[in-house]
Amino acid sequence: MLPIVYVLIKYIIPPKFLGNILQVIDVGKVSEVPVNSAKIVKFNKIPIILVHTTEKQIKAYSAICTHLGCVVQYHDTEGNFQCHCHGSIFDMNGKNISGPAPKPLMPYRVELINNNILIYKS
Amino acid sequence: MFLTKPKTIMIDWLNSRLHLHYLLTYLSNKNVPQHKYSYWYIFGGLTLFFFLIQISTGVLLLLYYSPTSDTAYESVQFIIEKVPFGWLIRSLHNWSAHLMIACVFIHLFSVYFMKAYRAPREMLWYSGVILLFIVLGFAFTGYLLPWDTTSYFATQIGTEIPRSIPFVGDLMVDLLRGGDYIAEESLKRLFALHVTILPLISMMLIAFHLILNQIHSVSTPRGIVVKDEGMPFYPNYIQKEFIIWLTGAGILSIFALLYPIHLGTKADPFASAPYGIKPEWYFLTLYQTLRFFPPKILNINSDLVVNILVIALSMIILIIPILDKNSSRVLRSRLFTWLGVSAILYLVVTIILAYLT
Repeated sequence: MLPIVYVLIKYIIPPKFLGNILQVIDVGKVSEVPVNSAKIVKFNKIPIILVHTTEKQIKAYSAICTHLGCVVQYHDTEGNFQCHCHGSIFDMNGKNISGPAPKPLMPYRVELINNNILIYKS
Repeated sequence: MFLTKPKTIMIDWLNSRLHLHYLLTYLSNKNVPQHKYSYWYIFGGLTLFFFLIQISTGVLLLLYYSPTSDTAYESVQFIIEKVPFGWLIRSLHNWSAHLMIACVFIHLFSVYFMKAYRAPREMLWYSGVILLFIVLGFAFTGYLLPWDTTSYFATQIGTEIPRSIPFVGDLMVDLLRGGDYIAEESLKRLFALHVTILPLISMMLIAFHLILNQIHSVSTPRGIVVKDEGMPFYPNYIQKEFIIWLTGAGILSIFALLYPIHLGTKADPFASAPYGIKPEWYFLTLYQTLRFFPPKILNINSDLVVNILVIALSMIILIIPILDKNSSRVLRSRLFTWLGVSAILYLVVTIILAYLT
């Protein structure tokens, strides 16, 4: 009986992501993300929010809200990230400043090479 | 021989092989107690009726539904727009789910207030409470299947809730989702639960519940005088039940025809969650409770606190027959009556608050 239970349990636990895990991705030119705007890109199956701040900085964070996993959105008028599911707000440094989110958004390292935006695995 | 009606020949043929007369004699001799609160028991029968509608319309939807992230939304769209009466079958499936859950809650509370869980009917209560959880499981697993934006993010939120449980939280989320995020693997897992595992378990439990109901019959609350000898199960009680099921079918038809269920936009895992996303009414109490709490309580994640509360409350509901000793001794148990009233008030207030805020 035990071997059967063992086989069943091992079968239903999903195997970890077996595809190639990228260490870095090129998400395009800086000009493709105007100042005070953001776009969401896919990196190793995770949505990453890339923002071009009013201080002309490019920042990248995991777009997954640390509360219950909804995708956050950049609000250019308030200059923050908001989760529409339960109202969590994160500042431009990804810090949770309002709502039920218990942790900041996970940051990703960004580099600009030849005007191309590169995001590195955190 | 030639004068004998074909119907009589058929009945005699079946009777000689299945001994149906034993069953009919048993059912005719069985009396269902009648008292001034008997009408509350109609909700148990109505739950069964809506469950049968769920199974039959679910099988019909399966003829066209395709459970992959590329095709699920399109297949539901095809059912609604192209398949003759597809919109009606989907609407019946959706509305019968709402009505079934409402009937389960009313049945649970009526059994609770009549203290029908007292000895020797404890097993009826246990199986009924487990069936309530399974019915909610049906609702949860079926919600993602249309693969539209609301269902996607609602399932994302719902499957994330157990993560805060120590040691097993991550594993539970992985088991439900089949990966880190809601994706095709999640759709397939929830689909398998929705159409095979949960129906199998629920059918076995319903059979167990009904057999126990036949053994113990319906309960009579403490201090209530039973009228006469009760109602014969066959044909009177079955006729009465048939009328109630017809009424249920009428109510379901009104909802399904007048308020057909619409399909939102196709889910995009990389789009922002829509504003004001809320779960269905039966999960609003949990949703509102999560909102009552600050992010951290005494440096403990509030999601963990709510998870512990939900698990503890579910266990308490399950073991009510053990906790309420007075009822089993046919004594008054005012404390449990007031706990029931408080539970209803909390459910109503949280649902209203969740809708309004």
